[in-house]
Amino acid sequence: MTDRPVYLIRQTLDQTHQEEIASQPLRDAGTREALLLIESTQDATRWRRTFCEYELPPGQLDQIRGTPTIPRAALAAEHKALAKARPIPAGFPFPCIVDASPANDDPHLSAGIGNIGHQPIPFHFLHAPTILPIARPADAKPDATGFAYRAAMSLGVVAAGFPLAYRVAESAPNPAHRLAAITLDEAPRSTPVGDATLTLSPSGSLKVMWSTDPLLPISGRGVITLSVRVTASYKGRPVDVVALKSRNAFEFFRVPASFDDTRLMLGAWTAEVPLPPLP
Amino acid sequence: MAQVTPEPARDVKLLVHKNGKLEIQDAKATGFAGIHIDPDIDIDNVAGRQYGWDIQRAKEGPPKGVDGSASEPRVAQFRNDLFTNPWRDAEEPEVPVCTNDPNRHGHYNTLAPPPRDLVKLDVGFWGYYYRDRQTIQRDFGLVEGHMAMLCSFDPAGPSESADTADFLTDTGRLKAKRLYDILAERGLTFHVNRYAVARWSSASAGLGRGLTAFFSDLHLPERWGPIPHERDRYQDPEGDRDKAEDIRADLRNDLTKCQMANGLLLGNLMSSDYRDKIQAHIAAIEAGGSPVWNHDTGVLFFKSIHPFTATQFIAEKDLADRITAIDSNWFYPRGIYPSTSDPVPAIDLLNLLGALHTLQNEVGPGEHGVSVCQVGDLYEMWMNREFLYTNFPVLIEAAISEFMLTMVRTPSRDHFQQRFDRVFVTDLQRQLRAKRTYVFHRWDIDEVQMFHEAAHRFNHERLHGVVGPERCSRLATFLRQRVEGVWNFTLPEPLDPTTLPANLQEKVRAIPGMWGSFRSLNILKSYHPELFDSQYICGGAANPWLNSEGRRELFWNKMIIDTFEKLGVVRLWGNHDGYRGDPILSADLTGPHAIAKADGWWSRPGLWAEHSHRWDEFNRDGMAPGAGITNLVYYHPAAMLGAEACIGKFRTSQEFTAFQPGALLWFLLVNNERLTVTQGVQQSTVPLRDFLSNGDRPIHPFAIYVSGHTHGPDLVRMALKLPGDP
Repeated sequence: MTDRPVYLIRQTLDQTHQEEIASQPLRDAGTREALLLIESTQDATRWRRTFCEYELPPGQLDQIRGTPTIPRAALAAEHKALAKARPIPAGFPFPCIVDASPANDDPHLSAGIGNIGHQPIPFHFLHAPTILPIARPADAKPDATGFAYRAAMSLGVVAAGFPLAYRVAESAPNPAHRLAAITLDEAPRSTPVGDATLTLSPSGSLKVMWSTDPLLPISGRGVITLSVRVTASYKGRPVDVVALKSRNAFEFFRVPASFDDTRLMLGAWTAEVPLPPLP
Repeated sequence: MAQVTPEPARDVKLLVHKNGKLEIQDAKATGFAGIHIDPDIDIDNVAGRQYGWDIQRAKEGPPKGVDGSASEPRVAQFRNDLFTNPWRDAEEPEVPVCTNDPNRHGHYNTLAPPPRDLVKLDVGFWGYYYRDRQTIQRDFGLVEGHMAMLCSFDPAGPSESADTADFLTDTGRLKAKRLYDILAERGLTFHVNRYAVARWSSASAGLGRGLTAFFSDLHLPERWGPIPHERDRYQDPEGDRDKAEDIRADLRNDLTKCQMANGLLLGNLMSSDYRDKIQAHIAAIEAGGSPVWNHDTGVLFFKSIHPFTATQFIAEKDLADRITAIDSNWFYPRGIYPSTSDPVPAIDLLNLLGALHTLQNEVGPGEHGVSVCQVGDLYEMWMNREFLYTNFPVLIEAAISEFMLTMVRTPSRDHFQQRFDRVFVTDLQRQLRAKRTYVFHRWDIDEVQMFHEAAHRFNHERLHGVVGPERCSRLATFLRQRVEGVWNFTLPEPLDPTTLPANLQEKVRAIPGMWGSFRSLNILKSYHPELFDSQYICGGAANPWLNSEGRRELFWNKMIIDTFEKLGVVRLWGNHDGYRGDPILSADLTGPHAIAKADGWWSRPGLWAEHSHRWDEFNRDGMAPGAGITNLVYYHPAAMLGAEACIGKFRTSQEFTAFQPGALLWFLLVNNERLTVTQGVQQSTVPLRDFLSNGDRPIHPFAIYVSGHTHGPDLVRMALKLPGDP
């Protein structure tokens, strides 16, 4: 079964990245608005999503809403230029494929040919619809408010992979919807990379409202923060630097739009059509 | 090697559905069933341009306006013709017949209509590289008459259980059996691992009685820097050898790390400033200066400065580069020390080529005697080298997705980089990167994605004009230097391992094949003393150049190349040495250098051979990604080649997504006489095959397709079921 939802994503980002021991940190702060196109295919063995994002310059959304068809190539060229200008990655710089089990266990980047390639989800994809959470385990026991369970995935920061654990509190406000409240575990995780040890400190929470048929997010919002500390001994000198800090406050909404391989159709999404309510 | 009983080729079924979907049924292809070949594929890009063919004309009919008549695109007809019955024979009153089971070599009596199938022989690889250091690859292929055999050379010699000898006798492969006997007399052998008999059909009818040996990828490396003499290396002022070696090792570590992307999150903590300081120091030495490198270790009160003279600095650089090159080369194994290697793959190959030469002297060369074909990647011309098509016109800007390239490079934790030669950079590159001919210089992903024109695909006079005469001349010189770099590769002869101390004997035993290399060397010397003539001794026999261990070194690569030439080898280019076939780049390969030139393909009645990289979307000639990935492998062989989850499975998947469909597509294009082209003033209609043939290089129908490139030896019988077949 294949679905092709389109999401509007709004982010307020504050990120810094120190590239070298003595270099000045790069900073990227401000708001970001993008349309995220997801081709979602589920079968008995796998849930594959192809994410294609188009960042929009300020004000452009108002211009293109309601447009029957927009060539994707034009949006892609603009997105590429904006993505390249960013000193620190945000969102999807190019179309990417994410595979997971049908229950969304172990989401990972995949080369898209058979079962080839298995790389952790980059930190700047974490907020994207469908990445979190995994489906409720079959043996989860409900309490008065719903279900509570724990889950984990791998998170990538450049070439390093870290385990990321989180808690999910799931409720069903009505039969057609599920609300997942996700809280990231804040325990730091370390991993060796080259000559250094990288330590990831995550925190944050997000809420995602899902429709049950099809099982896809409708809207979501949250704040994810993380930092990566680099410790090492370089030429006899101790190194202890926070190389990456990222704060990502975001919200996303499924919008009444569709797409094919070459075109984005926004005709149904006129200015009068409201966005779904945030959870 | 264990004794091997010859087994029939693996059966692969290819079902072509009416909608053009190609379904591959291969037991090895778990998860890859239903691969799609688009019948409206841009055949010129995939199959034609590699060799400069205009297959598109067969699809479109005569170009509009040439003869005043309107041109009706014939795409639909082409598609119908391509996937319908490819044999005119079926329409003829005389239908060829064949035995019902071609692999039952003792049973020729039952006749059946000819099924449509193709024997695809991938002749694997000869040598070592990281992924396979625990095993020895000594693959080669033999085709005698209608039988294709996937073989492996075994320097240990024949065992009591002579399965291959019996097989060759039983099947009447007399020339292959004679080769077996020649080797056995010398204490060597080979095994037939798999075999397949090409069924009798119009496509296989031309297969003669001769024996053809096929050799695949060798990737012979360019000469490595020498192991420095101790007298040229940094010494501790107080004579502490261990301390001196620690300081040297620290400098070597810096010299290696400076060639990789740096950054805190990459775990490479070297600063860009320090990296540029190393580059400036090397440039000063190359300019003839004698600057001193003050290498500091320790901090605060323990900080100390260690001055390296220019000679001492270059000695550590040579050693660091040599170790990197040994670890990443794909032919010679790492020796008992990180800076040493062993010529055992060369000795084994020379022993086999020598036996083939003896056989050729007995039965003669050519179609009915013994012939030899090397199917490309004989020379390694990509590793740690500039991609020579940079700045050539671009056919496709983003031929590979950025996501795919990111996935491929991730295991290395590094970025793509060009390796610019100090001299042969363009003016623009000179401005931007001239300072970075040794240290890391990032290759922008937009450039890595590019598919460039290559002159053997197109009108090279036009390209020559576009690229410019000065750069063309420089590129031609550059290619000649790379060829010479391969020819000039030297290593010492193997030592008798029994004379080594016990701890070193243990190390030799741990390296596959190395214990026997001294024995193999003596066999080679006995039967081919001419290979140990003065011309193959570095410095000559009278006054040989001696390495830092006081041992003479031999030109092993040149021995291999010259022995191939004695056999009258058919030289084909591969992706790593495709420049050999490019008219612009190979212009300087004249005189004795002409033996480095190569063709793209070889066609003989019943037989087709090519490297097969034209089916590989990463590695077609002119594709930058292959060169970019190869440079990642140079620095990170373990991560890149050991990342089976990514690279290995990708290679396996390519067999089913690219190489099997590609061979099939070519089989249909060449053998299907319904595919025609209208040409000439007379508007005569000729089969596509004849249209593609030019002058003295005809293209023949074929039933056996021989390839290399994948490094994975394989022999399959691809049975076709086309729309309308029963």
